[in-house]
Amino acid sequence: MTAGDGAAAPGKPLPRITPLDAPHWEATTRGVLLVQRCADCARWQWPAATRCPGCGADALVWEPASGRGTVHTYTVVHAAGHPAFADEVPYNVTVVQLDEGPLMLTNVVGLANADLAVDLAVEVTFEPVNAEMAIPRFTPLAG
Amino acid sequence: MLNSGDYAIAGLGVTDQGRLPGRGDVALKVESLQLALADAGLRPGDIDGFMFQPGLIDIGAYGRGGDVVKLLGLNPNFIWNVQTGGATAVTLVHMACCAIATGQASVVAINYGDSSLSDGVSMSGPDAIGGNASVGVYGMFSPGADHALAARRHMHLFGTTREQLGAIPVTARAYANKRPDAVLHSRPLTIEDYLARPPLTDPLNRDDYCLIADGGTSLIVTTSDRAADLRSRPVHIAGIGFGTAQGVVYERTNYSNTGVAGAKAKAFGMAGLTVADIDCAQIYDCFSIAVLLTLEGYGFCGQGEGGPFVAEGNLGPTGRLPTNTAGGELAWSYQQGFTPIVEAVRQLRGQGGATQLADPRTCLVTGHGGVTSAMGHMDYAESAMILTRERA
Repeated sequence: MTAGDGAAAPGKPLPRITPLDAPHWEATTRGVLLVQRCADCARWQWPAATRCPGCGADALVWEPASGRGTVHTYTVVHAAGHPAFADEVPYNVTVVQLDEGPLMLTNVVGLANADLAVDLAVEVTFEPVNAEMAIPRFTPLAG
Repeated sequence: MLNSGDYAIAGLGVTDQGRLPGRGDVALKVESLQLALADAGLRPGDIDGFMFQPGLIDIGAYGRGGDVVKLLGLNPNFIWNVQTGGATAVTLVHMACCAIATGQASVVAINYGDSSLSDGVSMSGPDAIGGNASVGVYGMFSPGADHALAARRHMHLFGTTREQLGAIPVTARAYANKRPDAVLHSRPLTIEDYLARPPLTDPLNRDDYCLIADGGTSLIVTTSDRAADLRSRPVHIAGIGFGTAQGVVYERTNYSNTGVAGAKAKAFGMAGLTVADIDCAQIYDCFSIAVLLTLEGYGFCGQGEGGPFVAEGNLGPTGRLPTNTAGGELAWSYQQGFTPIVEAVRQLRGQGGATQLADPRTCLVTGHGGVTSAMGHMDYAESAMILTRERA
């Protein structure tokens, strides 16, 4: 079982939407993975920043990412640090590197933890939580 | 600009460490400062600067350092509460030197004490790193999970094995088994024990995690001139430096910037030394993998070579870099960034007991910490300090 199976149970933390990253979360309700990109240097950025960490320009705009990436690293958690996750151990916490470059903390779902591997190709899937957001998680890339 | 060798740690006070029910953090803070004053041969009235890092038990806007000032009747020119995680202790030593250099004080007390083990405060859980909703949503609730991500990435990139990583806790435990003052003194650990342990945050297990402990530690910092007239042998501050790696908790798995480079350059530049001049190291070991990354960051071995370096016994008493010679935070006790300073002072004074090294003249002390934000970002703070037996 992974942290992504089923809807988030009561008591699980949810992302705290801020004015800075509100466009990202609004897009998740439409099944779109929106991340920032610098209009000056074209560098992609996640998590949301105010200025481009690459070139310093005040030129970050929101653009849809492909939703594809590879597993950068992961851990399988055997001792839940939160009561709401107690029934889900062991579950994975994974960092996916988007094809566009940025790293994204997430979970891989639809795969046994034992089959997780660095460099595994994955694609985004959205878990609906409420009217304001869906949680981006990743599944092995089909084919 | 601070001159290398002009300032010294003139007093060290360390209380009992471990599970100390009923003692309370404030009493431990007070006791450690009393011990440091006695060690230096000073009286409370000699202290004109006071600074502290709150324990896990009293992290917050104010901390309880002010209680120590009142209970000991101090009348310092300032009471500074500083928090930058595991890098705080070295930061405080630097601030003490700067306060003295600029005439704000002449003898500074640095104070720390915690009762988090007995009083049930943890570094993991809903109110710790993952109480931060942006990472907690994915089930990430501890610095351990963060370091597990780094360990997995390191294993993938460089072929580092669990056997190699295990050499770090096993070596630390072997030191601690010879030191009656170590919390895990009577608990041996073999590599077979380590490999048989179930994972907590795979690939890390409990032995890869530092202790949580009750206890207090205090330092007295003054000029090397003044320290020469005090009761205990001074340990001189040859170099100090800091660096940061700003990003998200997991971004450092890129290894593009761990913050060590800046800390190393400033500390070694101030000291006029290179890593080849370092006789022993006390490395901030919140997790085993942190030691490995720090060794690589300073260039004691090449990037990716940390696994073989530690597995070959180089951290042991006859290795190339005897490290964490009382057991560190993995096995001696967890006093945040004070743990490495305590053992560095003891080694350079010749007070290392059964693990005293033959003739250490220089010791590198590192700190590694950070502060999370509501956005899930963590600014990693790295600190470096070179302590020497002789004045530069």
